[in-house]
Amino acid sequence: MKLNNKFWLFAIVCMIFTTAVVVTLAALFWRQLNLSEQQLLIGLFKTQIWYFFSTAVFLFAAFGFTLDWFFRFYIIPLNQLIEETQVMNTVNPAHRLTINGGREVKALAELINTCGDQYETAKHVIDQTVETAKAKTETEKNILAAIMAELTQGVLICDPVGRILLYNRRAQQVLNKVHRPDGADRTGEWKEADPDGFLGLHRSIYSLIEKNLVQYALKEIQRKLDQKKENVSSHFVVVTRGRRQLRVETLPILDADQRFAGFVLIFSDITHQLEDAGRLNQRLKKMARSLRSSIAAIRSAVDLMIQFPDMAGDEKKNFLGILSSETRSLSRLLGTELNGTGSFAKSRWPLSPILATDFISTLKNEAKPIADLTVEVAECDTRCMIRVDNYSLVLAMQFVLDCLKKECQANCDRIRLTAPGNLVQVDLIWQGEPVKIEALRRWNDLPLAGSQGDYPLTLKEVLANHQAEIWPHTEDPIGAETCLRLFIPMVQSEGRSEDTRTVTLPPKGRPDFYDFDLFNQAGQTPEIENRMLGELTYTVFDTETTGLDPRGGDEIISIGAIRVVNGRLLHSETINQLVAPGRPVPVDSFKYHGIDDGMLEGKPSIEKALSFFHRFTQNTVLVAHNAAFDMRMLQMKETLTGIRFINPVLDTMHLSAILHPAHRDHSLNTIARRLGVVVTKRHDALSDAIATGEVFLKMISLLNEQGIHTLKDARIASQRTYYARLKY
Amino acid sequence: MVMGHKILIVDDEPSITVPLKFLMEQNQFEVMVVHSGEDALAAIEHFEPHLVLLDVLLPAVDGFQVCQNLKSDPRRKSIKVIFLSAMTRDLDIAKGNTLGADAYITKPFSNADVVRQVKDLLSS
Repeated sequence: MKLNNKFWLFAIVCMIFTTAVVVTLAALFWRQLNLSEQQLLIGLFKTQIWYFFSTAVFLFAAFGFTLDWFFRFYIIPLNQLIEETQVMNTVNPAHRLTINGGREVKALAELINTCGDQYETAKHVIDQTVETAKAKTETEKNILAAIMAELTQGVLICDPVGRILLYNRRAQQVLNKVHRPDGADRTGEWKEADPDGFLGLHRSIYSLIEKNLVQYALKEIQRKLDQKKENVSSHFVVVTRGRRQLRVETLPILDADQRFAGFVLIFSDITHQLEDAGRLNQRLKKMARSLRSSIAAIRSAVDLMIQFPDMAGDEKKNFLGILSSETRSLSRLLGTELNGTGSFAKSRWPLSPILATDFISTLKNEAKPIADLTVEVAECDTRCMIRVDNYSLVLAMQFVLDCLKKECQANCDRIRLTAPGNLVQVDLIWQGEPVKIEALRRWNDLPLAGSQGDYPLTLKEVLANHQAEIWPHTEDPIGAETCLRLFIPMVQSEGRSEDTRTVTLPPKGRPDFYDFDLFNQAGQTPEIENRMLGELTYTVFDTETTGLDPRGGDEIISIGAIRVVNGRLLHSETINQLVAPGRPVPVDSFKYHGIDDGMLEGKPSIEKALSFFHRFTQNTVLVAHNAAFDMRMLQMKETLTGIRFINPVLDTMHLSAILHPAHRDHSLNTIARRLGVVVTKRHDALSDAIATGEVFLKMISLLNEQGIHTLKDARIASQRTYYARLKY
Repeated sequence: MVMGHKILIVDDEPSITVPLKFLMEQNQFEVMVVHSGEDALAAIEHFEPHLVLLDVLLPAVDGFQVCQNLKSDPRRKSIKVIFLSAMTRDLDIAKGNTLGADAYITKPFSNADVVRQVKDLLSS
């Protein structure tokens, strides 16, 4: 209840109580009197009524004024004193009390201010000592951070469920096109090529890399760990939406008890290498074919001319013509085609050696949802190794099985492994008609996506990466049993092509420069409402608009946002996006935000901007100052964009009303000043979002002191405040 | 006796077909030359060859498709097929053999080898 209301309630209760006491005493007194005394008193009261009335009015007035004075000078100032002392005591030690109240209250405020001064002085001394000690650590931290930042490979560390705990600059460049090496990314603006996911602390890696790929690698690592193999790394290749090909090495992180505590992903961009290798390969193949054809023609013609020296003149002329044209063709080949091949780097799709029988075993298991395969192995022993990107090749075979089933109604039930010569052959066998080469070539051009998620490579590309092919084969002379045969080159010697990667164990102590406490977050998927405010991930945001009437056609022209993870504002993960509103910006609103029509030309539409913002806010709690207005602006666009923000929302205006009910002003400026937050630039979406974020972080500890610990507590308390009734 | 057998030569390069045709004619074979897979399938219908010398890389319908077509047709699966190709990887040869080809000769080839293979197959 507000203090004023409390005052009036108290005054009324006091008056009723006093009146009741007076009436009771009067009644008792009246009963003591005999009849003549009562008549005498009535007579006296009637003749002197104005004296009695004046006395009563005077007494009540005196009582009321005294009560009001007491409230103004003691009760209200004492409440303010409590609130402001809490601020001093927690988030803003520099705050000093300026209470306007009674003498004793003023004296108490001065005393508290003196204590505050002494506390600040002591704190300053301690801070200096701590700073000196930290400086040394900071130097080491910076060296390590610099090394991480300048690594040519992207490094990313995740907890067991795939939340990102650490990443370096190179990983940011490779995976998150929002951040570009030329620095153009600093505004955090939306661009056409941006991926669906974001790279950021506490975000899921699976928004950037298909979960199946990582899970597959982790399974392989687990298998190696179980077999006590020395090399525990696993490799796979990610093809991004922009067709960039990234080689990813996966390493496990084990805790002190050898339990799985997370994993490291090391990225190398091999797009250019593979393109070069592919071009070189194609050119060499073409050259070899031309060379062979020309030599075949020359050899044949020459042999015939030797063998039949008496051939007719026309025939001899024909053969000489062939010799002449083919030798010219050879000269041209040597003169042009061979030039330029030297510039292509020798590289290939990263493949790992594996036993062919292991591959078949994996295929049998992974293909279970499509076909129940019986495995036959012939002429293929433990020396029979192949080089594969296990994930993509198994996916390709699953794709073929699926095509066989759906398109050819062929239920493949057997799989046979043979290795005659230098090729390993994997036969998918069924009863029925063979597959036409034309159909196979059509399948070749299809991406392997489908049920396995979003895998962008085609069957042909995957096979080409393995130098493999799938080909029809009639199994028996009657033609009742037929098969598709996967040819894949056999590895001549196993070798150890990759560097051996052993298990990474975490250091005993806490690392100095990154927050590994995220490993130990309580519960991986608890109900968000019951989670502690301090451990939630937030997106603090603000919008600038053409006006203050969302229903009257005002539009968003700017969105600013910053992420908060583990009680830290992440200044590297922000959005500062201007939006084309599709209408002129009124002069009145320009005065506030300084954004005019010219600045909005060529900026993305609200559909694109909100899509980008929506992805940015995934799995976070939204925080804004006066959130009802911003949320209304977003909700007004739901029909147009189909984007709905269902995140929980907290409003710093409501939270301020919870924390400081004795204060009337809960504007962002006032709250910031009260909590010791410096606002650099008002009415700039990103600056306001950052200021709101800083205010919010300071509020969390104050809320905790009031027993508001979880999101649910904060939401319920917010609903009780006056400001929760604001609607736009 | 192999004389009088019909041979269909399928290759899109005249510098290959001209000497091959001459070679086969010198060995008493009746020869027809076509330059595409589609023409080869049509020629098989009316020329009814005993053996096809077949290049792999042909425009539109390639040599593999021609071979699969021949070998999957019970009426014509007895026609012998020899691939003459500049594609020389083990994989390419395996692909040809898998389709039922009777021989796979890689370019450059010796005339004597080609004649011997042809004669062997036609006399078997």
